[in-house]
Amino acid sequence: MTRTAGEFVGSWRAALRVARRSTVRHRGRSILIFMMLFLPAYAATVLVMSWANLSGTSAQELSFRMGQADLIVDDGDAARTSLPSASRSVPLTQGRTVVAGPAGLAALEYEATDLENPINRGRYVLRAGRAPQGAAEVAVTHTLARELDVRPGDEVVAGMPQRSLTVVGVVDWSRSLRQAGLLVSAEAPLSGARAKLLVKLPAGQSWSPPQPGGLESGGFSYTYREGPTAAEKAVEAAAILLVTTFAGAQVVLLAGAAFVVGARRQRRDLAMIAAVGGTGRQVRRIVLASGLLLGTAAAIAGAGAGLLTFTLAGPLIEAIADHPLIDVSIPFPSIAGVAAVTTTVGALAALLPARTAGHGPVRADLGGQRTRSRLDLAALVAGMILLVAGTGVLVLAGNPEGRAELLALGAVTQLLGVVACTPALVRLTGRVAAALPMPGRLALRHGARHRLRTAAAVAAVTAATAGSVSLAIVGTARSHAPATQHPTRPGQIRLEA
Amino acid sequence: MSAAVLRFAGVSRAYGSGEQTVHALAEVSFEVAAGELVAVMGPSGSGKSTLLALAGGLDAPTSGAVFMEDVELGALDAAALARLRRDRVGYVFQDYNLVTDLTAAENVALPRELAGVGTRAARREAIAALAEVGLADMAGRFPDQLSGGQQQRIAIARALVGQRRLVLADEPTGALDSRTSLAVLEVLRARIDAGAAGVLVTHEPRYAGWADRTIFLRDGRLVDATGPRQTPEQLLGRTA
Amino acid sequence: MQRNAVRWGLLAVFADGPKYGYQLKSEFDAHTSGSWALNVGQVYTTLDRLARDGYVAPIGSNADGREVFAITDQGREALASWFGTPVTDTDRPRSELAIKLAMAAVAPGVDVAAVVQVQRAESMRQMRDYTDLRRQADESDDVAWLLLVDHLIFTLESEVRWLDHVEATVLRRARPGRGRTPLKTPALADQHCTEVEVSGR
Repeated sequence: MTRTAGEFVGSWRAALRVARRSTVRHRGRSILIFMMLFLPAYAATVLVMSWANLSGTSAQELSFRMGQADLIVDDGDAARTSLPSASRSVPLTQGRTVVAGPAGLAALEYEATDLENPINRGRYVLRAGRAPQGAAEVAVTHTLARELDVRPGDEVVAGMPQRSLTVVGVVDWSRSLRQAGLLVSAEAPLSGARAKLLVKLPAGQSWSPPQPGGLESGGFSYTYREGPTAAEKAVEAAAILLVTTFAGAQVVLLAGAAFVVGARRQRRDLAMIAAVGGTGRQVRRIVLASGLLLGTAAAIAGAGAGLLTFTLAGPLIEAIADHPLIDVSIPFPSIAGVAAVTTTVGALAALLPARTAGHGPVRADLGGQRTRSRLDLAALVAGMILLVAGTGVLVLAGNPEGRAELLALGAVTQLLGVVACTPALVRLTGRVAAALPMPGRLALRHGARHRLRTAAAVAAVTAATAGSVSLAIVGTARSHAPATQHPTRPGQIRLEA
Repeated sequence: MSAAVLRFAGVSRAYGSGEQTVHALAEVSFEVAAGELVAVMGPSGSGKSTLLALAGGLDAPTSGAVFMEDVELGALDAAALARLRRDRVGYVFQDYNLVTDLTAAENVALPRELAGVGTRAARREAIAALAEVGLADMAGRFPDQLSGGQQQRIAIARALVGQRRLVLADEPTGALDSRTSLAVLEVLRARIDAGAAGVLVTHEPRYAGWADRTIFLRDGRLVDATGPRQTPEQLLGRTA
Repeated sequence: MQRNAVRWGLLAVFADGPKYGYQLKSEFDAHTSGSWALNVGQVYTTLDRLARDGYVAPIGSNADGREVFAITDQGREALASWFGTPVTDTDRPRSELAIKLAMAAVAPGVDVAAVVQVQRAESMRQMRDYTDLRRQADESDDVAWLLLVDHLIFTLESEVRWLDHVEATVLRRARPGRGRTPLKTPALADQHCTEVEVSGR
């Protein structure tokens, strides 16, 4: 091993040891920082798991509607003949029917299909009992079972004309858990409605509608299974990028403030290590190591606790998401991403105090002197430049065609600008302090004396405010947007009756 | 006496500029040889601490040169100076000498580990150094579990661990009572007698008496130094 | 003074048993490591005086024919009262060093700082040499001697401290105002702040 490599390994080893010890010995501060990193990691893990399994533009959303089918077509000769020969299919009738309840008749949705057909996998969850068979059996959704207070073995009266049906099962419809409805076997629909086919195409085959399409020429409507479009994916990616960047910056600033406090307290130790022969880089490494250590711990604990929560709190998550958990999969790349971001955020939070620790004059630190550097002024200038640059980027990118990366970049640049300006501003408030009564003067003086710490805290609060304000603006804008979106998929023709 | 371990050649150090210039040290020259302990005395603000900072490369002279074993410190970059402090010089300050989050042995091993010596080897060296100051059984204690005198002795052990041959002590007994101070001085003196070189800044004449020579600073100038040793006969006025 | 000290010192040597003249000198030398440089004649003169005062009395001769003396009851009483009485050193104001510096401070054209410094360097030289002696001593050494060396060291320490004080006093008088308002120079104010912070920890 060369001398430099040895120094590298040795200093990391020493750095990690000091970091580990000080983490354990300053429990309060460590727990604070740990929680700052742990909670977002935990929440993110739960969200990522929920996103992957329950909602959004993911494949799950499609299987809630279409099960394993590639295609839903109106049942009919024209449709059946257009399908490739090896296709499998299951009939599905969706319609409305009348159910007799304690408060009289009610119109409810019903579906007639073969629940146990593999193509239907994903569309339903059988919660109790079994699938209905023949014309005298019915399965009710959870919600309806509760409304009518029935359980398997009881009778319900439904259909047009009304008939008595034995409840044999309780199911949930994947597309919404809150919906009250009935499910009967495919051969005994409860009322008239156009039958459809859920079609599973042979592997590797595609299907295209016969030409010319359209209902007037004996055509039929169809829904093709299609993943999210590129545009949708882009929007999703942009949203994730923005949320991650802003939340990340937020956590970096908050945890950074805590680290600054810690590094100040550690200053004498760090100066001592420098006097003993630690290079600036080695000293920085020690502060950085505690960030990495806490970041890694928080990442592992956050991901672990998130997964555990997801496992244990399944019913609750189902209720919140309004979808059932079927075929739960763990999106390992995303979870790894969450862990990586958490560790990075921990390291980033320690970076600023690490830099100041490595640069400070050792003699001053040993003597307990405070350095009156011109750093503040430099930071102010840099901050102004960052603010202008960030604003410029935002103005350029702040339109519907703007790139989300640029928006995120602009926002973070602005945030950094504000942070950089803070020490100078805090110092300025120190000058005003003389005019204030005692308590205010003391507070401002204290703040001004510990500029870095104050600046980090101010920046964190600023970021939090900026974040919530922009979220609020987005929310308001969204709720004012006209609801012109129709629940149709590309290729689907919707006729208003 | 062998070659000088530490040599100041016309060293000056000024802070500030123009009207506000303060000359912390002016044209100071002296040498410390192996096996020699030199005490530095002088009123507060006379430049004692500046002298120590310059000796270990924590500060750089405005003019003149500081040599350590014939290497001029001014010619070294920050990393090389850090390496020098790690490999050749040890500091002992008045208090808070030890890294609070490391045990006694780990504190002593720190410079060795920073230099890339393996954990076990560094620990072995540290235990040996602790044994030399009579504290091998305190190896696993944290600084806050040790008395002030023990901490200072550990700091001396660290200052002279491995190949280090120069200890720079800034009021090492400043925070101790007189009995504990003597124990610390004994350890320091024993390490010097074993071949190290040392500079001891103190304002206690009685402790400066432990040094081989005392140099006096006044307003940053070296004004005087003690003369050669007398024989016990001369000293006691004995009739042989 | 000196003679008195020798007289009482020699009487004290009798406290642990009868002695003959030369034995008296060698035991006294052992306790003081020869630093008093007594000669044999002085010892016999003092012994005669002690006998005349009735503090010691001859009790016969030993095998070698030397006359052996022992302390009397009266001598024990006198010795006890010597130990019980504080020393009121009337020579103190008449120390040469005190006179030299006092005169240097008032005599025109004398650089007091230089006088002080020369003396301080010499005092520190002695301090080092006595400390050497003290360090080379160990448990087996005569405890009386160790205490005498300690006395010298502590005396030198107070001398050096006094020299510092002399220097500070003279300098403050020579440059009025400087001592009282050192905070006017920014650099000094800076250092002052540092010290306050350190000691405040």
